[in-house]
Amino acid sequence: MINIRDLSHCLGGTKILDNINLTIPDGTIMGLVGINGAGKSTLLRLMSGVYIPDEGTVCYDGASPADEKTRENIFFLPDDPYFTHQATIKSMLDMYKPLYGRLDMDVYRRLVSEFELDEKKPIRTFSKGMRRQAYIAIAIAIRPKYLLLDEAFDGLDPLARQKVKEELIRMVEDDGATVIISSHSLRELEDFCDRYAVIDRMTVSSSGDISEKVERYCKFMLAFADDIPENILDGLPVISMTRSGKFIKGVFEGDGHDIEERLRALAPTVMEQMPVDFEEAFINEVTRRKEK
Amino acid sequence: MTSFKKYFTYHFKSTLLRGAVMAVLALALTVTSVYPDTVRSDTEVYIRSDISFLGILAAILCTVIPILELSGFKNRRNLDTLFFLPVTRQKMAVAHYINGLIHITVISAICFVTAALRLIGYAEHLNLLAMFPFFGYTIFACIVMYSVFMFVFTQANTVADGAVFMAIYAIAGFCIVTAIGEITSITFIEGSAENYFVYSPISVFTSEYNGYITPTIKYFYYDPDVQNIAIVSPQSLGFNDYEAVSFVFWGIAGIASVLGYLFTFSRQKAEKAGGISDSPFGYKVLIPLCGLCIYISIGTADIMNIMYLIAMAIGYIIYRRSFKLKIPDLVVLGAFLAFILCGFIF
Repeated sequence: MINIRDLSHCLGGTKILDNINLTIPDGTIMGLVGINGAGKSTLLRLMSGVYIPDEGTVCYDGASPADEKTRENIFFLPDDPYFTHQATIKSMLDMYKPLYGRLDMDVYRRLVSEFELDEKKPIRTFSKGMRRQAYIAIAIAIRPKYLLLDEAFDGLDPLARQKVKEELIRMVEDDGATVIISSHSLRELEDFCDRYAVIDRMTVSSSGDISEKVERYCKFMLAFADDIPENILDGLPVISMTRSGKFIKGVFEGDGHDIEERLRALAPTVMEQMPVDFEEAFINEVTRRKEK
Repeated sequence: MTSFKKYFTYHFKSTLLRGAVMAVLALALTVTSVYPDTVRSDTEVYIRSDISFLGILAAILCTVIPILELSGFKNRRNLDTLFFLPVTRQKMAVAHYINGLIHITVISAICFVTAALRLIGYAEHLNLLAMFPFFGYTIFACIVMYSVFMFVFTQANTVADGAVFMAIYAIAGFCIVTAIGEITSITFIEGSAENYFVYSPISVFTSEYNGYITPTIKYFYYDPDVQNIAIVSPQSLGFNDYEAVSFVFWGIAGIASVLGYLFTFSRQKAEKAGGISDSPFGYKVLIPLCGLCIYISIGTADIMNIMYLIAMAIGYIIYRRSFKLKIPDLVVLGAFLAFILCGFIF
């Protein structure tokens, strides 16, 4: 289990993260979301031990990531990993191989073959997506207990994305690994993450189960025979609303049945409940906080 | 195998080619720089050789290798792939320190052996056995210089700043001792300033041993009166008091540098890599300190005051990477201008 307590950090004199508290149970895939510059990458670097926190602690089963025994269980894949001019996948693997005893060469070979990568070719000659695939192949082959991925899907084609998702799910199911993945593609995260944490205004504004998060919202499309009064939805827990002629589309926070009853009382000619996805829930939450 | 051994083995193997290339270059330069030189007079044949290249080579290695060993730690993207590895930063620092030292020692040893082999045919004219203590002292001087430069380079957040720090530190000791000598007028301090250049331990050993290893080789010059070769007595090995005191200083400086390097490396903030080098051992202390010392030592003319002001301002622009003056800069500038004004008035 990962325990983050009262974590704060500054970059160049500016506070980036303030009083982060987060618990991540073992065997979960957690999506780390937030707007650009929210501090997702900084949090992952603090969690991996790349940055030393100004305040607070990160603990993996009670141990600090500063301890090298703990770090044997952690692998961090940054959004733009460095490679030297002559580096190949094989030479990168040579660095990690002696340090991570659990590295599974069969998995590595299988992934390199499935991604159709030439392990002896310099990484600089690879496309952005191929580089991503190469690093993901190494990260997954290392079989870490805790895998921290920063913008892991950036540049990957749909087939590679699917493959990576399957491999991550397999890691969690077979090895009980914990995966923390930051991404801007919330629809992608919703597909395979079971938990989420939103970083907003330097702190974790909400976290928990993705399905529970989505269930807190409901979306309705209503059509009216006459012109719609401006204040028709007053008194309802509206998160966002769009009007188009005699149509209204609204996202509400609360129990779907209760909202449905209250909307029916407005006597719409047509009323339809639509599914709310994680992206909408995230946008609603962040927008609402900005408005406050 | 411990994590240190694993990391060290990986790092050693990955820098082997670099070391081999440097060794080949050093070898080629040694072969072309150290050779027996035959000088004939009317009656005798003398053999001489200049081995000072070995000292110059050691100084070059001690300057270049810290940059090669540590430049990877000045790149934020690279740190993302290094600092999460299951090796503590302290062990990483030790691995890089030892690896660089091995490169210096091995390359120096190869060059010393090559130089000795080049001269062995003339062993009866040369004191070649003295090459052994010369090598030992060279390695001592190398450890000092290398340790100082490793510490200095770790203070910088970019490779360029690291190189500038190394250049400033190379003369900082000389500037400070000269200024102290100027203020106190103590003869011993005034006379010893040149021994506080970073390269002085190696230059002292090299110049002493260059004369000692070739004792039968005389210094020749054509005396216009006799129109023949005159022979100057051979040098003997001996270090003066200034040099002896400076060796103690450099020994302590070497130990302090190793401790400082390990301390700084293990606490370095990865997020600062590539940013402004704001270490207290960097620009913000070095610029005013060296400026003041140079001012005390040689600058009294009015034009020199203006030149110092310009030089220090350029130094601060390099440090801050900006032309924008902040409040502390204005305070310092105001104080400096007031200082100059007082100089004009009084």
